[in-house]
Amino acid sequence: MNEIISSTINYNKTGMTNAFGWFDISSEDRDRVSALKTLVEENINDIIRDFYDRSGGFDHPTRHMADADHIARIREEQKRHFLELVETGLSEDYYETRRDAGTFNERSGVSPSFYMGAYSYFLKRISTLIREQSDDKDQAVEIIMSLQKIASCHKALTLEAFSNAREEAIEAREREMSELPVPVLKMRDGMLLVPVVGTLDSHRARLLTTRMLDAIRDHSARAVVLDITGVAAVDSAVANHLIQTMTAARLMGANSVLTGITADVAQSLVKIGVTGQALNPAGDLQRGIETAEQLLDG
Amino acid sequence: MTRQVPILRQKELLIASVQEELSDSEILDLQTRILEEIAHKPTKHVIVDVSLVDVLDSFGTRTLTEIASAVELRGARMAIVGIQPEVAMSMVLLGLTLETVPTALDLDDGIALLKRAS
Amino acid sequence: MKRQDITTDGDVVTARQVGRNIASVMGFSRPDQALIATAISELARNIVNYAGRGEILLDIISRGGRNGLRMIAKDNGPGIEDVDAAMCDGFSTGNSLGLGLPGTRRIVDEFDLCSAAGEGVKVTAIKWL
Repeated sequence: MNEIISSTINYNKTGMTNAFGWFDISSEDRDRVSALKTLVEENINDIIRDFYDRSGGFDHPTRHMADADHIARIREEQKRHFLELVETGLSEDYYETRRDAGTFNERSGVSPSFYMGAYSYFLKRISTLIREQSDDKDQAVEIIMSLQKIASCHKALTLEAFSNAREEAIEAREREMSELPVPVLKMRDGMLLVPVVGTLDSHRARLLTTRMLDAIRDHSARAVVLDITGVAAVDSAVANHLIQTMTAARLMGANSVLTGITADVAQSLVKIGVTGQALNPAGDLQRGIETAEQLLDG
Repeated sequence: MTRQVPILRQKELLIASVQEELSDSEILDLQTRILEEIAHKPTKHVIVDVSLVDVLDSFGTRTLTEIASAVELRGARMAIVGIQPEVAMSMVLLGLTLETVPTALDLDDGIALLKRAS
Repeated sequence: MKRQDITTDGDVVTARQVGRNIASVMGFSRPDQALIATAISELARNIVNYAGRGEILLDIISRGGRNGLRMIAKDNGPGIEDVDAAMCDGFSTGNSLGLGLPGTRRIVDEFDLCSAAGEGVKVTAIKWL
């Protein structure tokens, strides 16, 4: 347990050391790339301009980005990103800036393929320049190989950061969904409708149970329609919770029917071994309300 | 025995209103008295009202199930009414799902339920 | 720390009332209070049924910035010979459904049972706030 905690805290340094190891980057590689600083600085604006201006079959996403400011920001970040490759010399701050670039790409809608495309265009242009300007052909090859290695590491870390940022964004959206209220509606005397929307994490599942069971008591409800059309995924924990809630409702004296099991959800329920019987399914909402009315009047 | 669960009779209906805290010996005493009542006077329906009870654990649930089975063997039907939300959830989590005993929200529902069933 | 001797079924009722009160003061939700009272009831009843005499200890603990209610049930009874079997649903050597211990484990956050034949039973259960 302690090991995991300490490795989490030192993630940046460990990540950096590992990354250098994985890509076999030596201090000579780093020196060679740092020496390219002037070359890159002198040419970066042309390269980026050419990348956007060149004609050809590449339908890059910036064409769909109507906002000129937005494109300008992306071009500015690309410039910073490429300069960083030669400027920082992969210093202490390197890992953090990778993270920033990845987060930037995620936020700005720069897809990994667009990013890789731009990167490979940049490398091609710089490599050509290195070959043109070098008298010693062997030396030029070595420089290019060092550049490739460090650029691979640079790209890998940025993409990793991109995927982390994407994950964080998804988690944040899920957290927002989990803040959604759980409404319990009274359809008529003795009948409740509980539409469940969003993600049912454990906090929200508990809230759902409490709200539904309290409402059964407060409204003297004898039938409950639990509609899960708006629930994207039902895993075994959620299914189990729904079964438990419906069983608790029965103990209180209210029968419940479950509606809105989508085809996807039905398939995953079968896979985890949940049978229809336990969930008392009634098809769509309309049928569910009819079933509940029969329960009330029958 | 200082406290006893009050049992009311209304013709062929018995109503036992369980008080807030139910000890094991009190619930065993209730079992004996319900079965005695049934033995002495014709009884069709028995309702055990637990709306005041805030804990129903495995022993309590098992004894209530046993009372219901015994009542059934005497030719009557029993329902449990008024299980509170948090009690219901605790029972489910404990694995006590009262498959064999009908349950209802309150006295009226319980009476209606038993009349429909018979 | 609250200590409650358990010898009669009346003590079972007292112990779970005390537990519920502590849980309520600590700020547990009503459903959680019911779970705590039920867990204490099961633990205390095990003492009465299998050991005849024992005690329930309740105290508030903190870990990693969270508060929790710790329930310890101790007795010096005959102990449990087969702890794994006792933790299975449906196992009972006494007069019960055999849902007591496994059920209790399901309704608390942490559960630990120590016992050997002839040495009594100590069950520790924690519910986090």
